[in-house]
Amino acid sequence: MVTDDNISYSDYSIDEKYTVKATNLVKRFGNLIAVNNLTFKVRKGEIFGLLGPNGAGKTTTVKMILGLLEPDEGEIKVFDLHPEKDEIEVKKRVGYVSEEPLIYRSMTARQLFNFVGSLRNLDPEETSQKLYSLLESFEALPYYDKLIATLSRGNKQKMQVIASLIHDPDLLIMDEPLTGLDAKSAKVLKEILEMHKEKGGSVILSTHILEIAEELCDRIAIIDHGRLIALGTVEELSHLANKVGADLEDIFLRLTNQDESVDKIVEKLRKSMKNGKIVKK
Amino acid sequence: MVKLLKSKGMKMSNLLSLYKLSKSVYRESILYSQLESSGSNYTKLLERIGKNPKIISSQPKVMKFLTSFYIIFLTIIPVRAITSINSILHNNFPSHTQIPQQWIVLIGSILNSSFLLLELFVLIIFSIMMTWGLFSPQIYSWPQTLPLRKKDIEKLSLLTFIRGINVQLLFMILVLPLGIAIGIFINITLYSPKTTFLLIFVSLIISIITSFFNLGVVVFISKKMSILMEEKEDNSKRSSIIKAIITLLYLISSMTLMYFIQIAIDKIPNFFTKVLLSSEQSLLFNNILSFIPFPFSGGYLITILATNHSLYFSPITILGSIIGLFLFTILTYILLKYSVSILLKTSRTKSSFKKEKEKENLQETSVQVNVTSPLKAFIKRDLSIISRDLQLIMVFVMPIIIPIFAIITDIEDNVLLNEYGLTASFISIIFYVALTTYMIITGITNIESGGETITSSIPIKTRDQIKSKLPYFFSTILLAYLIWNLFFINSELFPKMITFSLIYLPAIPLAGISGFFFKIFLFGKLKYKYVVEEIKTEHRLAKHFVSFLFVLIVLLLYIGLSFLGYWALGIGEIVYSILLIFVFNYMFPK
Ligand SMILES: Nc1ncnc2c1ncn2[C@@H]1O[C@H](COP(=O)(O)OP(=O)(O)OP(=O)(O)O)[C@@H](O)[C@H]1O
Ligand SMILES: [Mg+2]
Repeated sequence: MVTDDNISYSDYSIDEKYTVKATNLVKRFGNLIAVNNLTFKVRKGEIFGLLGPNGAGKTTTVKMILGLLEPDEGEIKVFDLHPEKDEIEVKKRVGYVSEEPLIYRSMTARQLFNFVGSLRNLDPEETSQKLYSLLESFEALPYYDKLIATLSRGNKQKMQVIASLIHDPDLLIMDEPLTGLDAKSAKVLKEILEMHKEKGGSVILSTHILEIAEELCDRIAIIDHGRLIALGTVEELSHLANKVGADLEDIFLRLTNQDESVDKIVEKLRKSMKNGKIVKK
Repeated sequence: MVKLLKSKGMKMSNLLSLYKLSKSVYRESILYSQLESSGSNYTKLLERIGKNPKIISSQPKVMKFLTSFYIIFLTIIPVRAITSINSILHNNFPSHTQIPQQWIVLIGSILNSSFLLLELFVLIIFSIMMTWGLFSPQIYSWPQTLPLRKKDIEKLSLLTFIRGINVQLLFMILVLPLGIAIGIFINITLYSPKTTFLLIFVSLIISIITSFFNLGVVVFISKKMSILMEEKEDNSKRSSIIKAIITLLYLISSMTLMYFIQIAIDKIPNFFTKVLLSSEQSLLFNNILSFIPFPFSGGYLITILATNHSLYFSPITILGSIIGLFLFTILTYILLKYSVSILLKTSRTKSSFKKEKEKENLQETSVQVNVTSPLKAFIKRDLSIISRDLQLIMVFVMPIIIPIFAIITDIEDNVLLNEYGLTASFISIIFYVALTTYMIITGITNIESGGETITSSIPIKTRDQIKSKLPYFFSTILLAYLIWNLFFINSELFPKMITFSLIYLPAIPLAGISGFFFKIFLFGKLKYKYVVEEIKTEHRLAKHFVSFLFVLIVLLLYIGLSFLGYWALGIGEIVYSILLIFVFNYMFPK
């Protein structure tokens, strides 16, 4: 059994230290168990990484936290609220970046932010200023009046990220937020996440890219096949993997039992590459 | 010699493998045009294709079938033309003596020509929607990564287009000789084997030339369409309105076409007997028309041969039809060459799509967020989505176009009213109202499904969302319903009808809104609330069908109530509204 600290999970007293508490989450899609008995807590003022290979169940978990999916078993509390029952209260305080930027194709960014601002009932002056500086720092100002359908993948992603930030959320839930962003914008986003953390906000960052997790996350939950395999800081994880001083890649592969298979795959690849020499005609 | 043959063989196999390759390019193009015209259905369509990739090819298959069906259906025109001419000529027709020969020539030729022309229209109407996607350079981006020579890629674009209309082309070539053969067969005693052979042979030649001409025209129009349909970055609202207008014109013209074909086929023998022009006038027309390469020269030549020397043809007409056909061949050749060059160019054009002109407008963008009430925000968003979404525009415009069109075409004969009577006519109108109401219901649901990321992360009260959709139930459908009433304008019961329609009027939005709620009940029931989006998608079709039935049954129940008297209808409407407000508050609490 993997635990994240010594506090017992049955303890649901109003606990200001935690933003999200997930207990024994299970989510099935037909026969497939996408999330299997997952338990973790996200502290205030930390960047919490959900790390796992493709199909591990990261997106599914994140959607349950947002109340977009209903867990089959287990319980989630976000700010001590029930994400489905108290949906509106929760969403007021959460910013979400989804895996795919499914934002209205036939609106301009301007219309989109008017829409979001209206539904969130934001203060126009304050929001405009904030939006301006966000657009500027992501170099997205030239696209403000462009139709979203015509934006590139990265620029759509920027709009999505900005839309998740303009209301000063307490909790940011970001599912692969750096997908499609160029180096500079990725750096900007990382800085924003750090700033958010310093202000005492929490971030849940789902990713399968180890470097990002290692660089940004205070604690990392490694998930594979829906199960929590390990949870802790990079240091703690390396301890768990019996590989002190190892980098996250080794730890990750070791913990997900992929280190041997990777060796084998590489070996195979080598052989086949040798056979198929590149010959100049 | 052997070498030459070999290289030719090589070329053939190369062409064959290219044709095989064109299959995937073709699929790609269909997918592209489907996605491009899907508007707010974009993600849904992708999801559906993911589940069942076969649906990509099923649509063009249906189109191919439909086009072929209509082309075969058109065969009736030359068959009837030939049999009518023969029956008039061989005294089966009593008033034969009063019909001038030149008039028969004129009508017979116009009929045969109209066949050729209609063939082209049918091809355009049923093929263009499928073929304009072939002109997007995007679809060639993948083959361009393959080790193919530039020439081959160019050939590939040509082959892909041919693949797109292969079946139609085949039918188009075969149908005219087939029609002529049937026409001869019906009058078998009148034709010698030699004439039979000549007639079929000539019609085959004409048919081949015309088919290639049609091919060229379709390429040309498809290209123009693809330019119009391609999403323009800056004036997208304008371009989607252009798209809507094109599609509308397209629909109207196709309906008109079908209408005229029907009339023409019904009334062919009458054309011969209703003599409108004198013999000299007809002769003049014959001489002039026969020189016009398309569609008349071919039509005249067929008529000349089909009358089998029993009619007098002026030498000018004969000469005209031959010269015209010759010109037509040249014209076809030029057009075909031109269209091939268009096709070849397609693969070479750099994809302009989605190429952002980055950092182009560096001038200060003013960022000012306008905050309104959620209700207003929803309405604004919906309008901006609808105005840029061809399918949605159609959903809101079509319900009005159809009754207008139906009334225009029916106003003279009043077929609907005379054949079915008042009640049955009204019930069929109600059926139509139910259908369009449900179309609008699905349309306004689709608006929601384009921005999952945004809507799933912001605090949305379904109540506001629903409220923003209500105006749609009071606009298009009511207008369409009122227009339908003009159907009864010729009837002496019209004043009564109008009174009834007005009393019945409130029932229509009531049925629509309750159907909308019912659909949400089936599709969007979550644990703690109802949502507009289609979440519970199992048994999707059955659920759609049931919700449609719901609307229809509510509407029919009101008709039932009206049999008790107008007062019952009125009371029913009031009770139902109260019930609906109750349901609204229950399903979508504050
Ligand atoms: N709506 C769904 N219906 C059926 N199966 C689903 C659905 N959503 C997710 N799954 C399955 O659940 C498993 C977990 O998916 P999930 O999207 O959570 O993975 P992930 O960790 O986010 O992967 P990735 O790194 O590729 O984003 C996968 O096997 C996926 O196929
Ligand atoms: Mg994922």
